[in-house]
Amino acid sequence: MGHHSHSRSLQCRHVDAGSCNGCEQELNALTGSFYDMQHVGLDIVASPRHADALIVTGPVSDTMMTPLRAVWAALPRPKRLVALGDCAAGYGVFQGAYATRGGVEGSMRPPDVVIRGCPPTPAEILQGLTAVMDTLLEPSSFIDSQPSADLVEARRIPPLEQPRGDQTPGDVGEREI
Amino acid sequence: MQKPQRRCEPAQWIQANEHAKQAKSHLLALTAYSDRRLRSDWLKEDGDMLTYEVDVADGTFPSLTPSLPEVSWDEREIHDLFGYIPQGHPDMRPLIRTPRWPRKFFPMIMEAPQFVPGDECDVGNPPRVVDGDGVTIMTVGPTHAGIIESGHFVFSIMGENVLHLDLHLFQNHRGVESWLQGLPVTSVAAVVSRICGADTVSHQVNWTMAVEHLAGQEPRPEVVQQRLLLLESERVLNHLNDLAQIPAGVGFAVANQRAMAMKEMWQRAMHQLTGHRLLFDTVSPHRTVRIEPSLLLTLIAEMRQVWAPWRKWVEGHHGFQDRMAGTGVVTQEEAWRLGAQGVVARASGLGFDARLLTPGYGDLDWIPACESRGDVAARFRVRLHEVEESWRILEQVARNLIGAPDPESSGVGVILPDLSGDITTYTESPHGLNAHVISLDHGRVRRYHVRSGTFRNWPLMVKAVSGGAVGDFPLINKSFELCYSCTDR
Ligand code: SF4
Repeated sequence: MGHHSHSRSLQCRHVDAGSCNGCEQELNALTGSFYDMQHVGLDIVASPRHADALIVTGPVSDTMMTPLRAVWAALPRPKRLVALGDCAAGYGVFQGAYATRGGVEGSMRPPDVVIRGCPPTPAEILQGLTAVMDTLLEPSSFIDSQPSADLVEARRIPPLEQPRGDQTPGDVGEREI
Repeated sequence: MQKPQRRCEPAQWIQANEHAKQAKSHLLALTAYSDRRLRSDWLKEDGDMLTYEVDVADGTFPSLTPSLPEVSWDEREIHDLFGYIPQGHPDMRPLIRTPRWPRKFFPMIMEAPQFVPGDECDVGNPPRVVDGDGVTIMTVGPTHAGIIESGHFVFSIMGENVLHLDLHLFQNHRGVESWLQGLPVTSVAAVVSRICGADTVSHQVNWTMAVEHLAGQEPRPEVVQQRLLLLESERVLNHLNDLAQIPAGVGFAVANQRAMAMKEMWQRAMHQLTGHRLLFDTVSPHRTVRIEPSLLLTLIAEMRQVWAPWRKWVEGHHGFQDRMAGTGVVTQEEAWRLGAQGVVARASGLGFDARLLTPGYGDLDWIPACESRGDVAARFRVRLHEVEESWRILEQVARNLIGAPDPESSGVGVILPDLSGDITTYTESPHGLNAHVISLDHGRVRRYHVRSGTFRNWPLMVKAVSGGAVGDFPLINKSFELCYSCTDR
């Protein structure tokens, strides 16, 4: 654990939890040649097991809440939770719709970093993710190496019946002890 | 745009709608209301609209799906959200409803949401899979490895071949239509602008046209033209994105990166010209953002410089063309039967483009796209053609607009506080025809139904994937480039 704490890099897993796809488009722009996020040590990784941070977009739809928590539980600690865009931050125009669950904070726990905007520009996202990288350099990132409340929370979700491929770690809540 | 409504007895409902389809009309939407009625809106070939209504007498209505399979999802949605039962529907599995919803929870007919789901439940409904020796079930999603919207796909595969793909969408269902209900008309534009981050202008224009029609105020010609600029700018933005994604589907990274760079150039210019990189909040009943025509002309000239060599290069790349040719075919017959929209329809030999019936486009010189093969290559070519045609449209309109008055102040202005009435509006978005069926009651939304082009195209994607190699899925998927947000709502 803490393999990244002495390097300036941040590997992120992204989960869309009911976004309008505007935030995705701008996050995606970072992978292009104009912003080239890998150049500054940022990357989107395919498995939550390889991720240092989870980027959430959207107001957290009811259906996505369970998989979202499962993905969060699958990230090794120390880990960071990022709310990308006004919806995830708990402010967007859909807050209050019957199948939304109050953004990242309402559905999981307060995010470590919030990137406001509807959607935030690629430059703002880049700045926000760099700030996440900085928080991982701080010693405080080692504090939560004890099972945290969110993990206990995530473990209440029973394992999913079907194997879901490597992308939905349905049963990882149980495995990560 | 207002039209007579024809009430049907339940016994005539199927026949009336079948008849509309046979007359080559285009189904805009099938809409349910909380006061126990349904309505279908058809767009006739000549641009007139046709509306049928039927009562949901005892909580049931005759299902249109056996004779009009394109409404299969619409009727399942109505069943999930309203509890009305389509009698005779061949597939009544839940579409949006999840096992977490209380049995009697029908969000669109309940006054206040009474929805307090428990967390400790499975995510979705059981998929439909093929059973038998040698069949492997491969599930993908709902969360994905990259930066993609959430959706859950269950493949039944044998060896390399896809036997069946079961779509489990609606993970992004937020309850947007219910959320819009009861909103004062002044608060609608901001929500409608965010129904879909890709096709936002199309949705904004639908809402704006609806208010204008109901208020009896026609926009000035230069305002209509400014909206054309925004609609076509959005088409270019999305087609550049989608043209970038198709090579990504076969790992052709250079073509992807170069097209993504063109998209970024376009987005930066949009930010400069409209104030928003994705054109959010640019059209509303009281304001249409003005694009400076001379700057737009310069931009297009610059874009053509980068575009021309890219186009020549991807069109001349044999490996890429070989991968696209004959892959993911949608036949013309299937496209018509399932109500294909937009690029998907035009790549399969259906020449329909709603712009042909939209005010403002008639006077311009442009050629609608039409390809016949229905494969990935055809969908790619339709987009190539449409980018260049959109630029031609933009140039013509921009030249007309040089020196025209600023439309900033030329909207409806004060939205009449007690606006009432029913209206259906539509526009051709980059992903097909988007229809809005709107009902206002004294300045508040009574019903707001959104039927996006993408919604209709999803079942066609299943057709294109089934029978092919599973390794072609990313490519076929990218050639449709369907959004989830405006489907799931
Ligand atoms: S914050 Fe804005 S852009 Fe992002 S998902 Fe929400 S509505 Fe879309």
